[in-house]
Amino acid sequence: MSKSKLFLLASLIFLLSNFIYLLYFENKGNHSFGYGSFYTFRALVKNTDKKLDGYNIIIEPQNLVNFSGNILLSAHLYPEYYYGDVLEVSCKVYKPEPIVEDGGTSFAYDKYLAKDDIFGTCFQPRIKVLGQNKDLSFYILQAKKYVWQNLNDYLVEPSSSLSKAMFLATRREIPSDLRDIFAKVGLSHMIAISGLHMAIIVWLMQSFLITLGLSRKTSLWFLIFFLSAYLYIIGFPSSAVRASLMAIILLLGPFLGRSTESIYSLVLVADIFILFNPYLLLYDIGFQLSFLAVLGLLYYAKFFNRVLVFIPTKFKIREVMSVTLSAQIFTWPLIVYNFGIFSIIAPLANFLILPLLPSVLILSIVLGMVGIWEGLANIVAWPLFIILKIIVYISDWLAKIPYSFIYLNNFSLNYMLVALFFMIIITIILKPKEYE
Amino acid sequence: MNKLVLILIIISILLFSLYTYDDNLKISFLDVGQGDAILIRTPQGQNILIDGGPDNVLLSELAKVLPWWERDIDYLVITHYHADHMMGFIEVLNKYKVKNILVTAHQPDDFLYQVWNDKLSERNIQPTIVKAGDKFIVSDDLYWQVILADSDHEDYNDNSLVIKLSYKNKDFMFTGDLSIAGEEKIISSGIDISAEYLKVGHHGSRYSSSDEFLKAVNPQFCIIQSGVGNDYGHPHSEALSRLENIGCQIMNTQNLGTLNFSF
Repeated sequence: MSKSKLFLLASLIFLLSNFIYLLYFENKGNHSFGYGSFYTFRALVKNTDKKLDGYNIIIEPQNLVNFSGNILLSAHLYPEYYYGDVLEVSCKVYKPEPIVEDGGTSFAYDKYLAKDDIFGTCFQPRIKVLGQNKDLSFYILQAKKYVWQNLNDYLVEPSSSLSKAMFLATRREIPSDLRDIFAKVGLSHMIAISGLHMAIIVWLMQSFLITLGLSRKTSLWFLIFFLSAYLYIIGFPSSAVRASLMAIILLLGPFLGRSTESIYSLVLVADIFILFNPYLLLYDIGFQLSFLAVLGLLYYAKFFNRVLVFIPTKFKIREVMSVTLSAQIFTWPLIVYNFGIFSIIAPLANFLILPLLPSVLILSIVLGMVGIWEGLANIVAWPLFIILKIIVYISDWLAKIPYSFIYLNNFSLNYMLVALFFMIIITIILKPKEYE
Repeated sequence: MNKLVLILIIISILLFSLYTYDDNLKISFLDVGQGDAILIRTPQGQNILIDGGPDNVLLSELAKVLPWWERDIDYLVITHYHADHMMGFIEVLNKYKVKNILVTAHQPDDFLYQVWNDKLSERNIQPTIVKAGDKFIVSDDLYWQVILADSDHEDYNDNSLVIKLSYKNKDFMFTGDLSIAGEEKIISSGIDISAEYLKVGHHGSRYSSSDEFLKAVNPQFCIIQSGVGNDYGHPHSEALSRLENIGCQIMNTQNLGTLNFSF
């Protein structure tokens, strides 16, 4: 058996055993903690996530007996709290439970929170600020606050929430009707930090570092440093971390003198993820979608480019169509299972709108930085506002076309597994990799 | 070259949309859930925003009805200092250039008012206190006046700032969360409050919209702003039957979404 085959086999066994562990043996939590009672305790703010009608705040209790891990607070919009605030919190601490919906489908909310080490929830607590803990993270997140405020203040809706979501991963501020539109036209990946975002950001950082006159090797170290800071700021979303790690492995390859074929680096990165946090495998849909999308790209992008001969190559139409279709090959069962929508118009929507993404990111970065100069900021804000407005306008228009999407609400877990299984069988029979 | 052509086309479409924007009086009752928010855009291009809804949903709903290039709010009116009438205003001050803020003399001693006041000082804006009888003339055929602006009641709702807007032969009453006691005060003042359009008081609560008040207003359209599944049971069936008795057409943002009128 060759080394690479051995690696794939070992990875498969590793991932599968984690899968079985999560399903049957995982039992993490504060089993001796008295849930459902009223507590007053000191806690440190770890993260804040702004919604349209309030905040989700993740706190780490410091003197709560028998409790380890974090607690999720739901709080009003005002007053605002920030990373590093030391609080005295008074509330009833509840145990997260799975949510069973009307249709009988259940959502493992407890495990979903456990993925972020959250083992308790609190609603509208009484909060007193005791002080502030200023570590390195505090200053890094002050920078995030500055960028967020600029994107917030210089733009009006819908551009403001979109720009913040696309650069800072704060998607809860996007109104639900707008999120629905993007789901219908297959553009939800655009309002998260997807691999495409990271590719653009890595490309921007690299161009910047090379313009400064740094050698490839030095610029790689700076790149890793900047990427880590950026990932920290946006809270390490799986798709962004996955893309960054793959980019770094790709760029490191020549220096290590090893070939870095993408399929192996994808599996390696998956192994690293699960080693750090096994919960991601089952309870982070961003992780699942990101890996399945890349798997589709690796297997099918060149295949579609060969097969879709009737689509013109002008303006890269065929290339974009191939990429969109292949990214959906393995992700569609998951998307339909989780969101109940199958987007038919997705390839067209992606072709029309994704070319605007680099300009949105570049303008958002610039606006985020130049906010202190009002005149300059306005010059940047107007084109950014207009581009995002155009994106919303086109998406809205596409979503209104009859049969641009279909609702599939009864798509159960079994259907999803069968669909995935079929896609794998088709791949084995079709051997799309041989079309390269 | 292609890109240049594309940019030129986009710029001409944008300029065209500027040029073709019509100059009607537009009134939009925004669908902000359980709370009030009403935008009035005058033919002269002034924007009057009455109340700011319960949260930041206001921002997207407001942007949908304002022209895309608009960044000025000429008058921001706070009927009273309850969260469901002003929460969205704090972010409006961040994003828009607010020229005037109209309020009653009520200065509650609560936390939300303190947050609001801090925001005003940060932005260096001084609100204008209005009193009953104050009149704002926009043009020969468009003006609005303050009907009631009490400030000394314990119940915030009775400190609601009530406004009547008149345009050509149409009148509009905006009553905030005024309860029946306040309505009686208006009636006894003898001021003309007849109006074709009535923003129904307090989201259709049973403690507002008395028969006498409805008779004095005699509306053709009764507009209720309430949220789906709200905790208060708004609109209340008693209030609804009084509205039906007066014979007006009842419209609710809860069922119909944002309601746009153009005159």
